Amino acid sequence: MTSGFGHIGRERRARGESIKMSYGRDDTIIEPDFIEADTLMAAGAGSADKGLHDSASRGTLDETVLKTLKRDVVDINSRLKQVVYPHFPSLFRCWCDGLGAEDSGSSAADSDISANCDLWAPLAFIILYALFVSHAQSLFSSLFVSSWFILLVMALHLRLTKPHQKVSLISYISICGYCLFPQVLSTLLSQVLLPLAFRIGGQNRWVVRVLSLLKLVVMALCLMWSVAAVAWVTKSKTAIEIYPLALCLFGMAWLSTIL
Amino acid sequence: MPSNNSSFLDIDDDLEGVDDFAGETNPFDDATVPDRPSMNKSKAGEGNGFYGTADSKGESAPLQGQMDPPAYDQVIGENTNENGGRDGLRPGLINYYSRYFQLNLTQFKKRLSAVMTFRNDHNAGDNDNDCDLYGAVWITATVVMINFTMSGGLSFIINEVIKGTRAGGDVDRASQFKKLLHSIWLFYGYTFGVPFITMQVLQRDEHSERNRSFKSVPELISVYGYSNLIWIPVCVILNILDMSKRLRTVQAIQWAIVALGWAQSSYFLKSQMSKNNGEDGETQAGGKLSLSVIVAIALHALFCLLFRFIIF
Repeated sequence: MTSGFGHIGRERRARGESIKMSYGRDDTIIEPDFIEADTLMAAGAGSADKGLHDSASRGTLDETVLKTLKRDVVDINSRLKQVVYPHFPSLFRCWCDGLGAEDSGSSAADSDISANCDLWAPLAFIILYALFVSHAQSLFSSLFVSSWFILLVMALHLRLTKPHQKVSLISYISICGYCLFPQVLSTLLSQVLLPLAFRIGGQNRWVVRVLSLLKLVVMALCLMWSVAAVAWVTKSKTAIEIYPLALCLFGMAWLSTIL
Repeated sequence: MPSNNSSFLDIDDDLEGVDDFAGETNPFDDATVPDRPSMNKSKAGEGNGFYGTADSKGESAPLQGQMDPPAYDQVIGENTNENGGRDGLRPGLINYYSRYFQLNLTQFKKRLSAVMTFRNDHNAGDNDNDCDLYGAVWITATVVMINFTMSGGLSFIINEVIKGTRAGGDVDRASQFKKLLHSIWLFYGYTFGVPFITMQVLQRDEHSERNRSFKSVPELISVYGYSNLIWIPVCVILNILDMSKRLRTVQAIQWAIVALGWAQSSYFLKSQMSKNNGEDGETQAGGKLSLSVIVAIALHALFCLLFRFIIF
């Protein structure tokens, strides 16, 4: 029956008529449900990436795996562009600017934050992080579990200190997961690329000193980067809110440097 | 009854079916999730924002109303009439605990300075905002993190940065992780477990009039949490001294520092647990300690011994 109405509705809508049905009585007028055209969504996504817009009509059965993966990567990248990348070049200055702009800008951001809830990016980042740190040895599982635990702790902290925001725990896990990206980069540098340089440089004392200092500098930079990003995106302004997040991220950064 | 109207939209077919209920109210009307105002707004201007793009995912938009957790104010508001607002929430809810994490920076600084100066202003007036678990959780986390990172960090700096020798696989990572695990169970166990025992002891003490009356266990956990503040400098110094552990004098100094930490934190615990009504309190208590406070300090001494033997 519904499909019948839908058919009628489509016909009438095509003619631009308003549709009202009376079920044998004059006082009973029921407007049938229609699926709205996607014009609103299209307007909203007007300036967004094409990859993101495509994901609205996601169907993975009739496309190649490569295409699906590519779309996911583009999807993650487009979010990173908004959350994490902007804070790199001038770190805290950018962060302050971001806070200022945000205050004057949208209040709708508050409610839309929970829409951004995918665990795909955090999973990818944590797998990469654990893989780099453990060198694919037995340490992987413990690093994997403890990384998720750290994300959970960060999300719980945010949920507890910001009870007035309507953001769910999972959304906070997702947001914090995105901010792990600098940690992954730091791990890649200090666990994969710098050891290669160690091999080339051998046991020369100055090479060891410089590379060790580089490790520390990379750790500090990436830690500041991810803390700035997570503070901006969760709108944490005071030290009370930022310090626990920084402590958790420091734990992860430390593991990647020292192990 | 057949209808006179010949329109094909008039579907009263005299058979049993959905059209029989056309005159009744829709029972699903109550369950309708109200549209969020943000969903109707045009996102054209916010396309570059993090949230704007999130909204452009068509599939997530209809779920928004259902996925959101209940707002804090909403939950609080629902319970206001029953049991007086926040107290009415059940302990299983996250919002129940969020009241213990609501504090601002000045409040926090004031409490931290109160630990160092042994100031006891619990009887000054409002006790409502006096209790937070933020300090207990994150001061303890800081202590644990120092224990975990400092020894490894120091050896990294000394060996690789200063001496320029690469330790490679010789680093004693097992001891670092042992320190981490032992610190976690010891400090969190003590901060969040022992207050339950102390609370019982304080309540059953026959000289309970000498003690400050704690309304709830979280209040006592808060006191224990802030008393952990002294372990931050103590752990830093102990970790530095740990680099040359074999020397006897160093060990003696370590013992002395742990004893200092014990003295400071137990004095703080004592000052918090005993009643302090200014001059009146001093004359009543006469400087004597009640048995329950002595038990608490003895437990604290046991904790300090465990800390010394297990972690260092």
